[in-house]
Amino acid sequence: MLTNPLTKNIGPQNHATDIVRYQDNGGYRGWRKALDMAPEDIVKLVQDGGLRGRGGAGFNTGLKWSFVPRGKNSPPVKYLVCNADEMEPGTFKDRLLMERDPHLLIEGMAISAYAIEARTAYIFIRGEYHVAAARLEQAIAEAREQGLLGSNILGSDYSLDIYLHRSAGNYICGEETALLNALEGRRAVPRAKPPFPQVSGLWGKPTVVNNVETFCNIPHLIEMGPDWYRSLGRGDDAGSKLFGVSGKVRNPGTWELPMGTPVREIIEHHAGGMQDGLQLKGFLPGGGSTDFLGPEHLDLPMDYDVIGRAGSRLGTGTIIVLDDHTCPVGLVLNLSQFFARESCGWCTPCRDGLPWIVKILQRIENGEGLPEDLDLLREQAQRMGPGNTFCALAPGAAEPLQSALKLFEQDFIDHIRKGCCPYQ
Amino acid sequence: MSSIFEPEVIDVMEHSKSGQGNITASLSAAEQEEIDREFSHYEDKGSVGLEALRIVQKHRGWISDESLRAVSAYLDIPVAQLESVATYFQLIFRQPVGKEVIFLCKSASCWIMGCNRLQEKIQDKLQIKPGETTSDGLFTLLETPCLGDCDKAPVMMIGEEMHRNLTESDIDEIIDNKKKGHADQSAD
Amino acid sequence: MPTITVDGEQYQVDEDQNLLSACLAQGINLPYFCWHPAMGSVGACRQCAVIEYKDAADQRGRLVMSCMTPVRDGGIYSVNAEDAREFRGGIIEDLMTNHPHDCPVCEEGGECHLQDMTEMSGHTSRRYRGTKRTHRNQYLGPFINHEMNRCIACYRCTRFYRDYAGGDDLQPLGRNNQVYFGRQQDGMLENGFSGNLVEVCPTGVFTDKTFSEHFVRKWDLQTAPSICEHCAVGCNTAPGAREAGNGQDVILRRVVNLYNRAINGYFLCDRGRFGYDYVNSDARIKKVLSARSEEIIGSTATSGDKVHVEIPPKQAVRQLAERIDAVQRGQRRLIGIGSPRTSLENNFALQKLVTRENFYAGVDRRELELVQLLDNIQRDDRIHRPDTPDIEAADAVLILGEDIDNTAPRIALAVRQAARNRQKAHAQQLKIPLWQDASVRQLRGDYSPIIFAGTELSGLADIAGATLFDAPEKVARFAEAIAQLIGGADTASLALPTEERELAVRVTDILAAAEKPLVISGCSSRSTEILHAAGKLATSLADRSAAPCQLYLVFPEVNSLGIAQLFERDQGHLEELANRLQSSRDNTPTTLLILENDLCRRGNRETVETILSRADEVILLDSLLNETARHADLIYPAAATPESQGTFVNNNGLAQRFYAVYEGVGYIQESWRWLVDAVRFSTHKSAALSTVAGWQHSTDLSEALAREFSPLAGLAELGPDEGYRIDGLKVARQSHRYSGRTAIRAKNRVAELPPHQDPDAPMSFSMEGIHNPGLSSLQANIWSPGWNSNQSILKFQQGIGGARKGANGGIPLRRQSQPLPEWHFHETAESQTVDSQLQMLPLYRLFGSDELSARAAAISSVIEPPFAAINTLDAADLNIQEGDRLELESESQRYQVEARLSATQPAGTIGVPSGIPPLESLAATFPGRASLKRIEPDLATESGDSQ
Ligand SMILES: Cc1cc2nc3c(=O)[nH]c(=O)nc-3n(C[C@H](O)[C@H](O)[C@H](O)COP(=O)(O)O)c2cc1C
Ligand code: SF4
Ligand code: FES
Repeated sequence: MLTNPLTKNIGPQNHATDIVRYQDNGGYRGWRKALDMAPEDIVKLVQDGGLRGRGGAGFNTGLKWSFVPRGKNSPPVKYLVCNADEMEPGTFKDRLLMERDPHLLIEGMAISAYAIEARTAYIFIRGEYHVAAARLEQAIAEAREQGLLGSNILGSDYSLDIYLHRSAGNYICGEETALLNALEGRRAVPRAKPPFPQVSGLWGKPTVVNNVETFCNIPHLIEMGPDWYRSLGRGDDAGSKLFGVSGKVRNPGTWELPMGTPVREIIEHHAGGMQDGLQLKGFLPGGGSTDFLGPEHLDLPMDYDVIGRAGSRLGTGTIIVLDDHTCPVGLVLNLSQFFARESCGWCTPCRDGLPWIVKILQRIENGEGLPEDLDLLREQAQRMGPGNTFCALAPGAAEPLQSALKLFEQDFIDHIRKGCCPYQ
Repeated sequence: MSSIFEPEVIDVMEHSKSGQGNITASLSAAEQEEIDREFSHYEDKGSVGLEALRIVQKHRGWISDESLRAVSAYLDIPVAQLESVATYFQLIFRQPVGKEVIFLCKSASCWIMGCNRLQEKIQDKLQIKPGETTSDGLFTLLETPCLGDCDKAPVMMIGEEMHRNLTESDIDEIIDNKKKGHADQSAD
Repeated sequence: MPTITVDGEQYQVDEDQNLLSACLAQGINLPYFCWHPAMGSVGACRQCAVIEYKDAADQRGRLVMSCMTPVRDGGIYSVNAEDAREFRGGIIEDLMTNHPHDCPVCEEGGECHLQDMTEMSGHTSRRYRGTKRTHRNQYLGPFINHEMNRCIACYRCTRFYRDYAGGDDLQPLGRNNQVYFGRQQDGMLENGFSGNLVEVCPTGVFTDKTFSEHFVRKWDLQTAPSICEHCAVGCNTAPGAREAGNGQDVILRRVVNLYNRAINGYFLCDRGRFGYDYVNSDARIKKVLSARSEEIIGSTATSGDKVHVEIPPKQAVRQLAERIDAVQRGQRRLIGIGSPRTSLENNFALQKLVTRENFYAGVDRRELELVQLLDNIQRDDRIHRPDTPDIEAADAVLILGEDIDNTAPRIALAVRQAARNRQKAHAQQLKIPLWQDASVRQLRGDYSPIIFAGTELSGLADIAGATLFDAPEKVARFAEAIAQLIGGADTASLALPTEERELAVRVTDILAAAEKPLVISGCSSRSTEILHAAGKLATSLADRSAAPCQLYLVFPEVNSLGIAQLFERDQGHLEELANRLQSSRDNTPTTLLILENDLCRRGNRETVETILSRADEVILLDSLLNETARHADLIYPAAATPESQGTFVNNNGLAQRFYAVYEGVGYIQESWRWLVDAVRFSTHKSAALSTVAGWQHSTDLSEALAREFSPLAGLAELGPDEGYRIDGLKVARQSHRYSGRTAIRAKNRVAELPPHQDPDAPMSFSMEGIHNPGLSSLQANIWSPGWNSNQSILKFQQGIGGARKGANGGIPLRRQSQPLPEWHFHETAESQTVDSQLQMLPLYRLFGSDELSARAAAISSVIEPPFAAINTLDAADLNIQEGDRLELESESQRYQVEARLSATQPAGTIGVPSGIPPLESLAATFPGRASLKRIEPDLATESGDSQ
C-alpha cells in the first residue's frame, strides 16, 4: 500500500519533474477521476478524509471549502490560491514539493479548483524560490499542452487557468488575507475577518487559500479514498506529512512520515539525534512561531491537538532543535528580530511592541538587562496574545518568547545576574 | 528603502532627493511586453503594479525614481500608490544594488548553525555592512529571512543561486570566484 | 433596539453599530484612535479594547476590540475591567515608545487626541529605555506641516485622504514600525480637502501651516460660530482669533470645522479652511480713506486712479450724512449697489437707505437671471433640496454643467461617498456591517453611477461612470433629451448624434431605475438652457415616481440666493444701472454707494466703466483694497464675516446666522453700522430713515427683513437675540482657560479693560459665561472634560454622527411654491469659429475663483497662472502647443495666457479660469467670444517690456 503519497516521486532515482514521468508514475489519475465526480462530492470526500491544512493552522480543508457559496445564485467568479510563501523560520517543506514534484501540486490545485468551482487559480510563490518557480511554470505549460489545464479540460465543460505570481519578500504575505492584498498589487496588510476569503476574497470574490502541502495531499486522497487516507496516520490525525528537523542534529532533513509520529522518533531516528557532545535543551515543533517544548515532550506524537494540549502548535511540522550550547535568549532575540522586521505595521502591539521586545532582549543578551525586564517581556507577550492583534503574526511571535520565559527562565536570569551571555 | 536593513534613521524619502526632476523615462519594449503579458492574468490593471516593478527591476537591477514614474505612467497607477507598494516589499530595491546581491539568511536555523560568523567573514572580506554595496559596485550584502533550506544551514543566496552548508572558507571561495568571473567578463 | 450591559449598566443602543460607537453614544469614555465617526472601523490601533462576556456566568470574558465588535442584543461587556484597562494602557505605552515628548512645542498640544486618550487610559509612566526612531519630514505645500516623528500610525490620514477624499498622493510608505505617511516626493498635497488632515490626525503630524504663522493654543482662541463665506454651500466653521501681545491687533488665526450634520459634517474644503487669512491681508482696509483731490501726474497709478489718505471717521460719516440730507432735499441721487458676498443685513441697510428703486444687486444681468431661475426651480414642490446626508445616500447622480469640486467642494465630497453606495449594498447582502470600512472597500466593484455632462470635471473624474464634455448648449440639449425620455418620449424623436442618444438612453434608464436619484446643476456654466433642462429633468423624474426629486443647485456666491429675495424679477442688475445712468437726462449729482463689491469682477468692463464714470461720487464700503477701490472717493472699512454678525442663505435656501468672532480692529465695523451712523448724523429724516436710525442690533435688521420679505420671515427666529441668557449668563467666546488677560495689555495699562460688549449676540468677548456646547449652539469652542480635541463633538451629538444637540441654527426660506413654467427648448445655432473667434467657457478653481479666499496669503501663493484651455484638435488647427504664450483678446481687452491643451475641452471653445488674476474682469462676460493668438517668443519679450 502506498504510504508516502507526497514524496513517492521524490528520491534519488525517481524524479518526476516532467509530465511524462509524472504520468508514467500514475500522475493525473486523481484529476481524471475528479472530473467525473460532482464538485460537492469532492468537498465531502476531502472533509471525510480528515485532511487538515498544512499551512500551520490545521483547519479541516474540506470544511473550509464547504463555506464557498455554490449554486446558481452564488457569485459566478471564484478563485483558488495556493499559498507558497513559505517564509516561516525553520520551514523547508513546500520548497521541496515544488522543486521536486511540481505536477503533484498542479494536480492537487486542479482538483481543488474544480471542487469549489473556480476557474482561475494562482500560485503565490515567494520571490526567492527561483528554481521552484521555474519548474512550476514549466509544469503549468506542460499540463496545458496535455489538455489537463486550459479550456474544456479533457473534453469536459470545465476550464481552468493557473497562474504563477512571484512575490517580492515579506513573511506577512503568507497570512492568507495579506496574501490576497499582495496578489491584488497592494500592500500586503491583512484584512479583517469576517468576511472570510471564502465569502469575499480576491477582488472581493469567493476565494480559497490553501498551503502547497495541503494541495499535494489531494490527488491521492481522491484517487485512493478517505479510508485509505485516514489510515495513513498513526495517531488522531489523518494522512502523512512532511516533517523536518534543523539545528544541531546529526542528520538534518525532511521526511514524509505518518501524522502522529512521535517527536523522539523524528529527531533521534530520522535526524540521527544530537550532534556529539550536545544535549537537546528544547525544540520548536512547527517553525519559528510555535512555543518551545522541552525534552519531557519528546514522546508526544506529532498531531495537531496533542501538540496543542502540550502548550504549543504543530504549525508547519518542521522542528527546530535547540541544543544546550546555544543561547536560548539569543535564539528568541533572533526570532523576535525576524518578527519585528516582518510586521506589516498595521496594529500597535505588533508594530511597536516587537521592536521594544527586540531592544529589551538585546540588552539582556548584552548583559545590560534589568530584573524587571522579564516581567515587561511577559506583559508584552501577553499583549500580543491571540485576538489582541489584528492578525496572527504577533501571537506567533509571542509564542517562542513566552515559552522561553517559562522553560528557560534561569537562562534569562543568568544573563541579567552575570551581566553577560553565559554561552559566549 | 525597504530592501535595506533598517537603520535607526529612516530613509524612506532619501531617494526622492536624488530625483527631484520629473523626467519620465519610458519602459523598454521588452519590459512593456512582459508587463502586458501579466495583464490577462489579473482582474484589474492596477493589480499588475508589483509584477511590473519586479519585471523592471529584473532588467535594470533596481527601481529608480525614473523607473517608478515610468511604471506609474505605463500602468496609470498614481506614483505615490506605486511607491507605497514598492517600499512595502523588501525585494523591490529603491536604491541601487551591486551586480551581485548576497542574501545571507539570518533566521533561526541558520543562526543556530552560525550565520553570524559568515556575516562577519563577508563584512571583513568586502568591507561592507548589511545594506551596503562595495565601492566597486560588485556586491551588495543583505540580510534575509529564512530561505527555506534550514536542513542545509547556514545558507545564502547570491542572485538566484543557492549556497548551502556554508563554512567561512566557502565564503572566500565563492566570493573570489564571483570576483574573478566579473574580472574575466570585463577583460573580454 | 438591542439592550447591552456595560459594567453592570443597561443601555438601549442602535443595532447597526459597533460596540465602540454604541458606548461613546452613551457617554461612556472609551479611548480610540483609528476609528472615526465618518470613516468607520479598521481595528488598527487596538486602543478600544473591552471585555466581552459569553453570558452572565462567564467571569473571565475575553478581550475584544470594541470598534470591530457588532453590538449583540443581551451582550455583556466591561470597559472598566482591570484586564481591559491594562491592555489599553499598554497600547499607549507601546505607542509612546516612538512618540516624542514634545508636547510643549507641538502645535497639537492642548487639543491633542493622543494626549486625551493617554490621560483617559490612565497610563502615566513609561518603561521604554531605548532610542526613538526618527523620520525626515516632507514639504507638503503652504497649508500643511509635516512632523512624522509624532506619528502613531493610526492610518487615519491616508484613510481620509485617499479612501474618503479620493486623493492619491498621500500614502503609507515602508512597513513595520518604520511606516511613513507621506508623498512620493516633497510637494504640495494635491487634494482639495487636505486641510482635514489637521483635524483627522489624532496627534501633531499634520498641522495647519497658516495657523503656525500666528499660533496660539486652542484654549487661547476666542471663537464663535460662523459660516464659510467662500462658496454657497454654507459650511459651518469655528474661526479662532486672539490679540497678539505687545499691543498689536487681534488676528484671525485659523478656521476649523464646526460640525453640522446636514451640511459639512466633519469636513471642510481647503478654500474654506485656509481662505480666512484674507482678513489679515496687507490690503485690509482698517481706516477710513478719502481720495485726495489733486490730480496725480506721472505716478505709478494708472490714469483715473485715485490716491487715498486717511481721514477721521467722523468726517466721513458727516460727509455721507450730508449726502443723505441732500437727497432729502432733492439735490442728489443716492444709488446703492449691494453684494452677494455680504450679509442680508448689510444689503438690507443699503436698500433702506437708498430705497428700492435705487438699489442694485451688484451682479450682471445673466447672473441675476440665473440666480432667479434657480430660485424659481427650487420653488417647485416637486423638487427636494437634498442635504449632505441625502446626497451621500443617492444611488445615481447626474451632474449637469457644474464642476462641483471647484464650485461647491463639500458637495463633491458627499457625491464621492454616494459613489460607494453600490458597494455598500453589496456589503449588506454579504452581511458585512457598513462600519467595517476596510471590509466594505475590499469588495471593490463598480461605483454607483455618477454621470457628468459639462465643460470640465476636475476632482470627480475618477468616479464618474459616464462623461460628456461639451459646450453648455449641447449639455442642455442632452439634458433636455433625458427629460423628454423620462417623460415618455420616443427615442427616435430625439435629434441627437447617435453616441449622445445612446448615452441619454442609458442615463435615463439609470435614473429611472434608481431609488434615490440626484441631479446636480448650477450657475457656473452661465447657461439658462442647462438650468431649464435640469429643472425639467428633475420634475419629470418626480412626476414619474410621484415623489419629489432631489435636485441640488449651486449658486455663484455665498449669499446670491439671499439677496435675490430683495429684488423683483429681472431687476437690479448692473446693465440696468448702466443703462439708466447713461440714458438719464437728470442732472442731479449722483453718489454711488458700493457695498462690499469689487464691481470689476461682477460686471463687464463696459458696464462698469459706464457706471463709474457717470457717478459724480463713488463711496465704497469694503474689507480689502481692490480694483473698485481705485475709483472710490471715500472708502469705509467694512467688517469681514468673522468680525460681524449676519445672515447668509445657502444653496439649499437655508438661512444661517454667523456671529462675530472678534471685533474688527481699527475703525472696522459692519457696513450697516456705517450707514446707520450716517443716517443718525443726517438732519432731514424721512420716516423710513428714522427707523434706520433706530437700529441698534444686528437682529433689528434681521427682524425688519423678516417683516418686509415674506421668504425671509424665518430670520426672526434665527438664533437667540442679544437679550437671551442661560442661567443669567451669556455664552463665552473665550475658553475658561484663556490665558494672560491680566497681562496682555499690562504694558500700556495695568488696570484690566472691560471686555467689548457685543450689541448683537448674547455672547461675551471674554471668558465669563456659559461654556457648554450642549446648552447652546452659539458655543463654537467644542470642549468637554477630558476631551480637548475636536473629537469632543461626539459629546454633543444626538447619537454618533447625529444632529448637534441644541441644533445648528438655520431656517429654510419660506418661498411661495410655484410650479415651473413651460420652457421651450431652442436649439442655439451651432457655434462657428468665425475669424478664429472661440466661445469662452469659464473654468473654476478651488484656489483663485473665489474673490476673498484668493487674497489669503497661502492660497494666493498657489493660484495658477492665467491660462487658456483648448481642445487638442483645435490647438493643432491653430498651431498652438502646450505651454505656448498666447494673447487672449476679448471685448477689446487683451491678456497674456499660457496654452493648456486638453482632450476634454469642448471643440470650438476656450476654457478660461474664472476670477483668476488678472482675468477677473472676464468673469461677467462668459460665455462670450474671444480670439487667441500665439505670441512669438520675441514678441513676448517685447510686450512684456511695454507692460
Ligand atoms: C504571519 C503568517 C504567515 C503565514 N505564512 C504562511 C505561509 O508561508 N504558507 C502557508 O501556507 N500558510 C501561511 N500562513 C497560514 C495562512 O494564513 C493560511 O492559514 C494557510 O495558507 C491556509 O492553508 P491551509 O488551510 O492549507 O493550511 C501564515 C499565517 C500567518 C499568520
Ligand atoms: S499583528 Fe498587526 S502589525 Fe503585526 S502583522 Fe498582523 S496586522 Fe500587521
Ligand atoms: S479604534 Fe478600535 S482598534 Fe482603533
